[in-house]
Amino acid sequence: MNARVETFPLREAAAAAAAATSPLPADTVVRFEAVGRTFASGDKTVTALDAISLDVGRGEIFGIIGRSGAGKSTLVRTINHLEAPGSGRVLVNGQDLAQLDENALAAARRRIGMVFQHFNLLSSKTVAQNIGLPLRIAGVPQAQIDAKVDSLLALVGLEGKRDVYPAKLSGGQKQRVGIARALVHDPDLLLCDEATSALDPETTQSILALLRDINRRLGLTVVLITHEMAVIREICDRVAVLENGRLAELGEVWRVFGAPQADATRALLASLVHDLPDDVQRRIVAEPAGRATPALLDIRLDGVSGRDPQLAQLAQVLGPELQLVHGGVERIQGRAQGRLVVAFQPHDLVRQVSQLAAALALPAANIRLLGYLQHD
Amino acid sequence: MTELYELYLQAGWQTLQMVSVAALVSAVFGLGLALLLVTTGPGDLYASPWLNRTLGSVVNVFRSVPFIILLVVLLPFTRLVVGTTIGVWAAVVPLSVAGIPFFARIAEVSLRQVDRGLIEAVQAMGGKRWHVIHLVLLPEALPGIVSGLTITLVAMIGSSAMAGAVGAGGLGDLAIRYGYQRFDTQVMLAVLVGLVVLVSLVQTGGDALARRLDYRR
Repeated sequence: MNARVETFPLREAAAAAAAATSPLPADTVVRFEAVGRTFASGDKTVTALDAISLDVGRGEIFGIIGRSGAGKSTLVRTINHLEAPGSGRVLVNGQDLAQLDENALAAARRRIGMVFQHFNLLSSKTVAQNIGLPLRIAGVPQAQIDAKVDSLLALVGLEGKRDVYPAKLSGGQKQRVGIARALVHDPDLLLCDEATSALDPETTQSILALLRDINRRLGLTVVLITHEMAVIREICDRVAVLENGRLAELGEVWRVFGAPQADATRALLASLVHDLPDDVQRRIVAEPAGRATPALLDIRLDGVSGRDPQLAQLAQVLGPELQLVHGGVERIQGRAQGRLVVAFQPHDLVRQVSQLAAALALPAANIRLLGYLQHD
Repeated sequence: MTELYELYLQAGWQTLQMVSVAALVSAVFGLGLALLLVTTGPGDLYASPWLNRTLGSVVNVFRSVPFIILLVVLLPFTRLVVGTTIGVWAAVVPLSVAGIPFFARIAEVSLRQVDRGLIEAVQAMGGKRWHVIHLVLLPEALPGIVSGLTITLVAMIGSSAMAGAVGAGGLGDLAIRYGYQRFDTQVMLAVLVGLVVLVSLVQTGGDALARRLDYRR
């Protein structure tokens, strides 16, 4: 079975896409066509983005992840043209913002909400004034602004904070104001630039829940950048992994988590994977020490089959002395993923492993013999 | 005694006139100049490196000329603007010319300290450059600008003592003519007390206003 079903555009494909000028399919909100960007740093030029091509579909929560300096911030800023692409182009609903003058660009940006890591609320304006600011800029009458602001305050759960200044709010509340402000023009696209990176874990959960809720209720497309894989796992449908300005991997979140293809992805996932504890590690030997030495198998569940692992099947293949040593299973987008380390008494190791792969509908490469478990 | 008292009041009034008019002029033009300095730099809203460098140099030139010399050098310009080279109005012109670049540099610092993220946020929400200036730069820098204006006012009260050189009068002039040249210690002390009170009032008022305008705390 080939886990790599999702093919991501390589540079040749990107160049071909850039040459084509056909309008976007109706379900594509953002299209990056071979987007490149370099910065001058002293007498050197630094490549922030290198021929990035990808599409963001309507209604999806699309994650962009990478280490700091990978170019994700630059990439998301090319969508609303806070950052001009140096080469290639970015289409939002079929429109290239680079072609617009100041007035038309301002109008186009009203269709794109943006949420920032450090909230970027005006300290001299109250919560209501901050949320209503985009409307005020657009020249909407005050009565209309008030009504809209009140409904958004209710949406983000800040009804009591209408006339408070941002300095009096907690980080989570500030971000709720930031989200409300981003939604005030009823955009069809919301950009989140590390929206939860300045928040504590609990607040992060509540903000992510709010984003997911908004995505479902308003059918809003969300492009979210983060350096935390946990955020991607929590709410994203698809994810693009950036490394050194290049697209390292692109695909559905469960697939990327279950069967990462790029080293960059594996490095980012490392924080979520728990290594074998030392006491187990110490007991592993390469060869069985005697007839009764249990074998240690590492089973990586990639979720491709869409089936949940059944313990009875495991026991049937590996025998009644099966032990669960380490690991865990979690569900991402409805698919069981994770890692199980099991010990069992092997009688015909090769056959048992291939039987196990078949029973769990996993590629044989996902099952690895770690060694044999010696007694202390 | 009554005569001196009247002279004292008159001098105080002259100082207030000179300083308030010059401060008003400096505030308006200095702030405008500061905005130009902040928005014309490379990569800024109205990037124009040539204009930016020119303005910077002009500011530096005026900032390096000592006030007493500026007063004299500017005489032809003063005559052109206010039609005379003596009296209170003749002092307002050099006080303003010195005050504009002074205040511009202070206001420039406050404007530069405005978080660039706020500018980005307003641009992202569909704000044009004008919105960035009047919705972000000015209101967010306002407490700092008010503090800067306070500093400018205090410096200007000091400079106004030299305005006697063009016959503008004022408290400083009174102190030199009566206190210094006629050895009238009482007048000298009275002037000093007056100046201390004036500076304290300006500083306290400015600080209080700046605090009230600052919502960041």
